[in-house]
Amino acid sequence: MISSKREMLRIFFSSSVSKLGVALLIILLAFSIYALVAFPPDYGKLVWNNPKAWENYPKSAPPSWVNFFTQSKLFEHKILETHEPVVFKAPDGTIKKLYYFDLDYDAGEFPKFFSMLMKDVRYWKSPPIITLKLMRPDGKTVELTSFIVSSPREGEKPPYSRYEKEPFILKIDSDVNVWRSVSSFLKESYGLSFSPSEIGKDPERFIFGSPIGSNFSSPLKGKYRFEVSVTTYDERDSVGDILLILGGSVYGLLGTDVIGRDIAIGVLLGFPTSLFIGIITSVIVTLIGCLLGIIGGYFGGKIDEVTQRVSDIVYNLPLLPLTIFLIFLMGSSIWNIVLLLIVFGWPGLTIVTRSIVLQLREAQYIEAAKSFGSSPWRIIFRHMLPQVMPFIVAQMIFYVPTFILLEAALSFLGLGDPSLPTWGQMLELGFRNGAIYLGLWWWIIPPGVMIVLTAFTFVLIALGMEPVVNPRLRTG
Amino acid sequence: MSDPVIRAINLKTYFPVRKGLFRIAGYVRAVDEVSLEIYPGETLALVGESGCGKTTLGKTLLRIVEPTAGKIFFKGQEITNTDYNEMKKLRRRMAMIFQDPYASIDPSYSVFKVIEEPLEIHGIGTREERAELVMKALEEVRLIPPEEFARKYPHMLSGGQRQRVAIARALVLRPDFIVADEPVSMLDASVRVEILLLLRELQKKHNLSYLYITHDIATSKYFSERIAVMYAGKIIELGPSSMLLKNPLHPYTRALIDAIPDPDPSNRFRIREVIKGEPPDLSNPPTGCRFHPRCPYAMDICKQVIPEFKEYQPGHLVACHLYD
Amino acid sequence: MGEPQVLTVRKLFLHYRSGGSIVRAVDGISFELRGKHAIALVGESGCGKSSTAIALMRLLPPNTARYEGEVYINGMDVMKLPEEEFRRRIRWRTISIVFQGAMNALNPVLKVGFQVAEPLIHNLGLKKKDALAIAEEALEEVGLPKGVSERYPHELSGGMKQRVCIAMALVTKPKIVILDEPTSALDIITQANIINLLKQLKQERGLSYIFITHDLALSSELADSVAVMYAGKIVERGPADDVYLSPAHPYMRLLLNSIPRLRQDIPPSFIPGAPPDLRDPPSGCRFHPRCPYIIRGKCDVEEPPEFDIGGGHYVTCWLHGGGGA
Repeated sequence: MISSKREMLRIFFSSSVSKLGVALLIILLAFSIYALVAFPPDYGKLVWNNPKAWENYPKSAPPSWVNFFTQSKLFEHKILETHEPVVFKAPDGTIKKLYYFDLDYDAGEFPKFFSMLMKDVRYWKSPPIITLKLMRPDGKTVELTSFIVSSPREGEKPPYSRYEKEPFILKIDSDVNVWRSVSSFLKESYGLSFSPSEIGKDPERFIFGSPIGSNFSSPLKGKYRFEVSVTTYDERDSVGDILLILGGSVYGLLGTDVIGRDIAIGVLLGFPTSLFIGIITSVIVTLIGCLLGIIGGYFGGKIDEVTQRVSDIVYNLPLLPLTIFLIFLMGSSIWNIVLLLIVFGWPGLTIVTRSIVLQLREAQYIEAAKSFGSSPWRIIFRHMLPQVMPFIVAQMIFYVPTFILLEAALSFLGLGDPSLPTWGQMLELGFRNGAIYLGLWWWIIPPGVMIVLTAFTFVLIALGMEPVVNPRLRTG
Repeated sequence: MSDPVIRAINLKTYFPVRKGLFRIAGYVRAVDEVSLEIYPGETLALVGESGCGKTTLGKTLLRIVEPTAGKIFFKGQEITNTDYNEMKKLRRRMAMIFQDPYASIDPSYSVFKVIEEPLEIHGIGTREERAELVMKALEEVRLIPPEEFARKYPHMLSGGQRQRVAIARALVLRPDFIVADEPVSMLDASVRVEILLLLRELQKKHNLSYLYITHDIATSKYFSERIAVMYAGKIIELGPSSMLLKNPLHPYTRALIDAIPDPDPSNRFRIREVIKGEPPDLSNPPTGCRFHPRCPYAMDICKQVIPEFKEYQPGHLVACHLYD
Repeated sequence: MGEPQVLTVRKLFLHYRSGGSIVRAVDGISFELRGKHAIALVGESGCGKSSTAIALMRLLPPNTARYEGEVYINGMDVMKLPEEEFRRRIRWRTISIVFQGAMNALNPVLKVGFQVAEPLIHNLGLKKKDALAIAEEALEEVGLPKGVSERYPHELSGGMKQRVCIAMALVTKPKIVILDEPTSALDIITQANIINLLKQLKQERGLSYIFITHDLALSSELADSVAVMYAGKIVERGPADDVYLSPAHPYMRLLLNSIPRLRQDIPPSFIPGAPPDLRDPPSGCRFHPRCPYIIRGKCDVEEPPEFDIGGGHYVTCWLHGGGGA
């Protein structure tokens, strides 16, 4: 017999299985907390499932660390961000702000695309002039473009806001002005004549390459510097974030999916959701299941008869088809999923708890308690629950992976809550987009591994609980 | 004689035997038409083999098991149908000591909590007063020093000590009537007598009445005023201990006495006269006298007519056609 | 008398490891058993009597710490035999056992006939068919009706199951049978029937019994001689008449007084205190903390040797020698 909680803990932690399980659980919790703190609650709806938010990301790019295994380096997707500008003030009141962006280029391929993003331009008198220049490693400078922000409209009052809602995007691939500038640059620097439309086919090749003859076949490696200059005519004028995006073919820690989403973020966001579904469902299922089991087992009679029949029926229902059907009817919100998992989850524990209570009910010390006038509730809470508790806790832990896997299965079948990224949904999307056939392994393996690992964590803890619950398994 | 503490009249306790879900196929007649009285300060030993219904009878008297028919009186008040709340009040005045001191105490409770629990349930005293009562109870059952034993857990105690804890728990509410169900059968020989003497001493001190349930007719000789012999759900003989043992009337009582050896080395030279067979199945007991299939004196009438339980000598009752 | 000794035990030890300490369950005991005789090994629970059975059968648990001594069966020290030979020649074939609670350990899914035949198949290597035939005979011999071998344990009453267990111990035709509390779970009348059966079998088959029990009244039903165990040691042994009628050790005297007698009017008394913890037994005589006749400075210091008080009656007590009394 186990006499105290401390003794239970000692037994629990004496096995390396439980130690590993608890260590993994701490890691899972740490990731969950980080994900909850670092991302706003509506991130899923506003960003994750909004394709616009991922426009600047490469599609289906493998993780950047695949470069360790390839001979010719792939270009890692770069998003260059604004630093403090260098400011020049002319006596006539003109202010020139120079923004510099540095890039160390050592890939064996050209960037897939190149674009500039600008937000929140605000001016009071004349519209600012913006130019984009590129200083290349070979000392040559390309003036890519220069333009004036649109003038005030009829009746508009200062300050004049531009690019407030939709950022200004300059896409090199589709901007004839840039092609022209590059064309003249090539003429001046190398004496090569390419028509703007020829350049338009693949402008990055000419911008980031140096010719062998008239052939631009490999990128020019080394340090590049982009210069964005903004000329304004009033002290109060301002420019928001400026981003330079160089499209690569590898990205980040875990790559991107078919709409350019960062899989690392998806995996991270999956932690709290999976744990939440697993833990909340198993706690509620355990509470309901063992309450019904105890009441039925202890009091017997009609209540017992009814709970037994209902649990027998529910227990033997085909869980998955019914859940699919009901989710389809009720809509796939996380609360509906949790609700259905609870509705179908409680009978197992009810049946087992009931049988334990039936045994305990016959124990002499229960009878003794009755003989001196203990009320049924007192017997249940003071005498039975402490005996059933370790078992219930172990069961509860054992249920966590079950529900995590069930949620994943539902998500995989396309019934997940679309506002929350989960591992199951990632798998589903990957599967639907042929990730397996296309070899997009980085899309499938991380969420798959996480599902298994999370389930495994709780299985380990439950295994560690076994000796606490079942004294025959105790060693030493 | 003064009024009995407990009185049972034609008490029956049947357990339904279910076949399938709802159908009741029959009844186990664990207690069948039993009448008895127990007087203040008296021990009535209820002797019988396992499965004869003696434990069920004890529990029915305390209404831990509900009677099927008949009447139970406690100090003149009928308690056969008393409701739960009224019964709870009465539980202060009756108690039970169980056979297995390893099973009758919640293993997760300290000795203190075990004995305090009845007090707590009946809302007796403040915390301090209860602690004092627990210590007094421990002292009464000679678990000394009580402070030390109060802190212990059941697994730290020997069987005899646990049974003392169970006795202290039964006594702490100062009951009038105690059902002691084989209180020493799980204990070692050298400890048995000690516990029985303790029970006797406490009986004198508090004017307790005991129903001493046992299969051991030898201990009942020394520790009870009267003996009732039970066979297959019925009391077949009842009388003052010495009278019943000296002059057993019922063939079953005789068989029971004959089967028990005394420590005597000459025993090894003789084969004991023993009745054959097994006690009957209580869901389907024999007609007439339930003992007739095993009885060496069985007559035709025994197979058909249930013998009346009647007085043979003053205070000595028997249910057997041999004494018609 | 006259029968030769079939079993001689000298300085037998069986200690267990338990949570960092040593339980001295059998602590150097010696006794003899003659052919066609029964010795009762009596004592309270935890005195080491069941461990003695385990030691004699060499069915050692994995936490055995010390197992040594001499056990002569028909003159041969079987402690020297390697396990394989012991299993083949001694266990079941020469010495067998009816375990305590064995009737509740019968396999519920096997027919009892097969269960009785098992030692024949496993230990004696008989063919299944022959073994079953012998088993059938053995079941009949213990007073069970024909056809019982085809039944399952749950179809039998407690007394019948116990007979099955006895048949199992006899089926290999051993000379010595250890009976470890063979009637403890039975009702009184059934117990008396089983004891009668054991008496008969002893007579008819010339068996020797080691009858292990805590019940001194019951042991007198079978015992030709008695060995009283206390805290891992035999404190008194001798012919049953001597030990029962003139017990020499205070423990045995007090133990006999604690038995309520049905046919005499002697109010029983008890022994104060409890048997010692075998992990840390008392110094000197292990009974001294409970003994009313204690000689201070002697019993609590020096362990008494076994004194011969005549007629094969031995007692391990300072009251009987060593100039103490």
